[in-house]
Amino acid sequence: MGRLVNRRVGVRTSCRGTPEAVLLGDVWVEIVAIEERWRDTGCWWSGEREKVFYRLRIARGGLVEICREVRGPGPWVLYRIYD
Amino acid sequence: MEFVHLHCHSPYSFLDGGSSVGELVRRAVAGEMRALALTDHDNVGGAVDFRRTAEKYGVKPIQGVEFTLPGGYHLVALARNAEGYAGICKLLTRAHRRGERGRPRLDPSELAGMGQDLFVLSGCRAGEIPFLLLSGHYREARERALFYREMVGDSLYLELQPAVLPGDLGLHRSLVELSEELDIPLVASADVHYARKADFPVHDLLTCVRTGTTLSATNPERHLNAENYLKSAEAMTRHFRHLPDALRNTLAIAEACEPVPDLGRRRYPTFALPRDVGTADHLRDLVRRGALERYGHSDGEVAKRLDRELDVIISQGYADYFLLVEDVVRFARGRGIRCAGRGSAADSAVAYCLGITEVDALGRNLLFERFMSPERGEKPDIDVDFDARHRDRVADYVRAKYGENRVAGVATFNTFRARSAVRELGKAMGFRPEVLGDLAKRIPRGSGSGNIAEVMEILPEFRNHPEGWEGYERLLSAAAAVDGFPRHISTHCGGLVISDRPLEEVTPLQRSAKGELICQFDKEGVEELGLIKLDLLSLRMLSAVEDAVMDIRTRDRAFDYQAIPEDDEETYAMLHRGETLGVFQLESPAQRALQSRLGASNLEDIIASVALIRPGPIKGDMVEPYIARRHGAEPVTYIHPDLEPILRKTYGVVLFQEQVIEIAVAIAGFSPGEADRLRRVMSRSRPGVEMEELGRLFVERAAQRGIGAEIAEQIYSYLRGYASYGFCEAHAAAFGNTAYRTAYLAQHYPAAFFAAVLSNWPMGYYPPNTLCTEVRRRGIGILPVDVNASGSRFTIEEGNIRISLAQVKGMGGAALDRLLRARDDGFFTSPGDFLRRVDIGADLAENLILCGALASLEPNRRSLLWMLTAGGRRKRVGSFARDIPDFSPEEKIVWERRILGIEAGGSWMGLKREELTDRGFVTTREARSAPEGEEVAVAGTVICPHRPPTRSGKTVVFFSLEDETGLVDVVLFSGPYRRYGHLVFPRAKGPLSVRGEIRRRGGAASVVVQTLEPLSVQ
Repeated sequence: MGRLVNRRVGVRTSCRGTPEAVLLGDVWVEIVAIEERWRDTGCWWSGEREKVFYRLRIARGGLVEICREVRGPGPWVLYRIYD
Repeated sequence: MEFVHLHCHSPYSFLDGGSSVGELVRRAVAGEMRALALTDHDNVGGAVDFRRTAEKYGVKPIQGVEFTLPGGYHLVALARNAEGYAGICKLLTRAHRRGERGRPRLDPSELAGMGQDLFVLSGCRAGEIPFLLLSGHYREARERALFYREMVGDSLYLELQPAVLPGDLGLHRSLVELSEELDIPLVASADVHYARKADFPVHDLLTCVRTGTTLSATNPERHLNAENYLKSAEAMTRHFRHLPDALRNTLAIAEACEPVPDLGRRRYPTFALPRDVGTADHLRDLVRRGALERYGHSDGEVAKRLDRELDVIISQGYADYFLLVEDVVRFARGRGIRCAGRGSAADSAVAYCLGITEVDALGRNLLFERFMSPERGEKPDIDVDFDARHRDRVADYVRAKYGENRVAGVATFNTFRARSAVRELGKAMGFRPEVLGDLAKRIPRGSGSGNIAEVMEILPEFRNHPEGWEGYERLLSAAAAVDGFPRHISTHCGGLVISDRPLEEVTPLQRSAKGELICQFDKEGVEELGLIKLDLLSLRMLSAVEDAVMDIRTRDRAFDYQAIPEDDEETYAMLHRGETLGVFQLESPAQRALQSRLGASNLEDIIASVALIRPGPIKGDMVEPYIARRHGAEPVTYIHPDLEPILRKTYGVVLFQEQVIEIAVAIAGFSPGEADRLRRVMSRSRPGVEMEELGRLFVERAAQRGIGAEIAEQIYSYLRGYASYGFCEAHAAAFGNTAYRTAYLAQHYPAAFFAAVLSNWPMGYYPPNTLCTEVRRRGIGILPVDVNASGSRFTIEEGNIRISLAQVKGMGGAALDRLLRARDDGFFTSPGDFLRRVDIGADLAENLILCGALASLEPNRRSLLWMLTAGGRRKRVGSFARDIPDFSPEEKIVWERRILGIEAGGSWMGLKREELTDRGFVTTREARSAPEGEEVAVAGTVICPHRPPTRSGKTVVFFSLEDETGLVDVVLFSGPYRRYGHLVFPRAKGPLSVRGEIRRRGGAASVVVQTLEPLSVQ
């Protein structure tokens, strides 16, 4: 089951912008695999901006989703954590 | 790396394409793509537009389609060659004929053996193979891939798309695995649905319209992101750089595809004749025999003209076409179906001799070159009007004669216009329907959606909106983006195509709403495809004429419509009084005003009238000079003597398209083909550079003929002034003929004529109540609808007109049949007897009561209603509460108007007359006879408000005001319009009170508005 978190999170990326580690608590957790990557325009009619999402397999064996606005780019958000 | 998009949807995917064909092609050009494919859903309606546009921009067009398969799966096919295109057409035809209407389904096994002519791509995520892979069913996907390869061999490709959606990574992995395992090549595509990323909102809105949802609602059809744009080669390369073959394959496929469909090749049918009879000889023979009937001989000038026309017709290869049309007209006439040719065909004496048209082109000296010219090489267009009730019988004859598989209807693409765009996109955006309705109704009918914001700035009816128009910007900008997009396909009103081969090789066929087969191309498209089009049009006025003539003949067996005298003084006197309501083409307020000033005394005047009241002559300010010259109030001058024979019949004014051609020939020595090109350039809304170029050529050529530059330039300036309002004299003559004859019927047989017009309504300009007011003005009574006396049509009783039962709101054909059959057993003796014997629904019974149709059985409508609604009509029959007070006369009139569209028992305005007179209002009849300059107050219902174009560009509104005595025309000039326009548009809520000054022009009076307000009465 996934739990909606939707708060800012620190993410370390490669020079091409691909996430490599995510800051959970005060620990940088390495990303083992990018399971999915997608874009979502959201509620464009309400002024919401397009976001890029990643579903990530992390070193501790968990699964998280992070996202950020494509333009800017905006800050990273921890969107969802899976049990 | 180079790349070509092979999967691309345009607006011909109907609400699933967010950019026009032109935008898509231009985007491909900007990305330096050498080719582009068009793959709309289940149709190739955009093929002609796409091929022309792509070739114009130097892009190779690849025609394809995205089929829908059973289960709703998608599959893309691209035509490799002409056989492939024909194959797509056949497959689409079968898919459309198999599935229920609007839900075509291709049986994929029908692709068997088509690999030589088609490329087949596995499609988007809705494709069968990708769908199975996404669902984790690799083995099933593998089986289906093997099946498709069995069908089309090496022409099958697995499509990889950078959709950037959840599941993409896994889907791509599986597709690559499948490709490697089965050795099926990969191909990259982007499932393009719009040209630029920024166009996504438009596509999203269209998807909401298509799925009947709003933006705030979720729907699986809506795309999650804006990745379905026409991505650049660089972007596609970035996505698939690890799979270079998938990119390279796009180029290989594009290279292997030939542009289709083949345009310009004739596919005309041949007219079946006995083996020993040649088409040309047969046509000449028919024309000669027709000439003997029409002219009494076929020698001299007649022979010369006919030979000249026949030479062109035969040498251009149109002999079969003329024989075909003649055969159709002969069929109709042989069965008593009234018909008449219209349009430029009436420029042909051959058409006249064949009985196709009723205009004597030779006698009128009409210019054949306007209709056909060897230089132009365009297909001649013959349009024939038929009695609307029998048009389908004629079409059935054509189908039976040439074969169901070679005849089909022409499509038309219903496109987004301002009103529809506002209503539909606004609904998707969540605006309230009543707000959208209010906004849409204020937009002038027929306006494009590209400039609604500007229209809102200008028109006063956009003022006084309780909530203002803020917050509509996004809607208006979306509406502008879809301006002109095809929204759905429907049937052209009269066009039929006939082919020399099975049509499904040239165009896919699908069922229309009426169940007939139609092409997937509109009239321009079918002509480009080389198909011959026959316009069999429905004209309700011909139905009315037929009814009127039949009725007249019951009293006067000798009456002959064709023999109506062309010089009937009483008819012309009626025209001079402007009493032309109901008369074909002459009934609009502007026409009525013209008639009362023109003083028409012959058919030529009427023909000129038909051409004069058009936007062009009005904008070009041609009407006043014409009238002045017609009356000798202004001298008729010609700046060059060669113009006199051409312009004499229109008093020196250039009125007809034929005159433009003749002037160009006479003054500048243009060949008829060059002159016709000038005519066509002028007819465009923006003639532009070509017009200037032709002007230089005109002056240059005129100089070679010794005509000075100054005079030539002046003549050309007249022609340029004429630009955009061209009207074909032959068409005016064809319509003028019917106009005069219907005027004759209105004058001499008004009861028969108006009963026929009312029976065949809708037609013409005015609602039934206005026509009935005119009938009363002519001294003929309007008898109420009555279940014992009315028929299925308006009938004549002792010189008066009885309202038909079909006029009752809610009276369908079946209910009417039941009612009339029951009456055949005997008249109804009481309301109870009626309700017992006639099986009709409660709503219709209520309407019959409220409009007075049972009044002859029981006058108290309210008590009848009580009996129907309170007691249960079958059990309580006969037990009336007679003491219930009836509706007031005013209430009865309101109900009659609502249910019949006619104030049958009297006029609401008439009931208020005493009060109105006390308050100083005059009737419209009094206003019509008031002197010039008199100030009047007049009240009535607003009829047909409209804003014709004016030369100054200022808005002037014309409408008629109707009361119990008739109509008076009202003019709202620019200033008052800005103050009061909102009271007239979108629709006046009730009667208006008008104060203004009488303006008299000729015999007609109109009220020039000073003040306007809703009428308040006791």
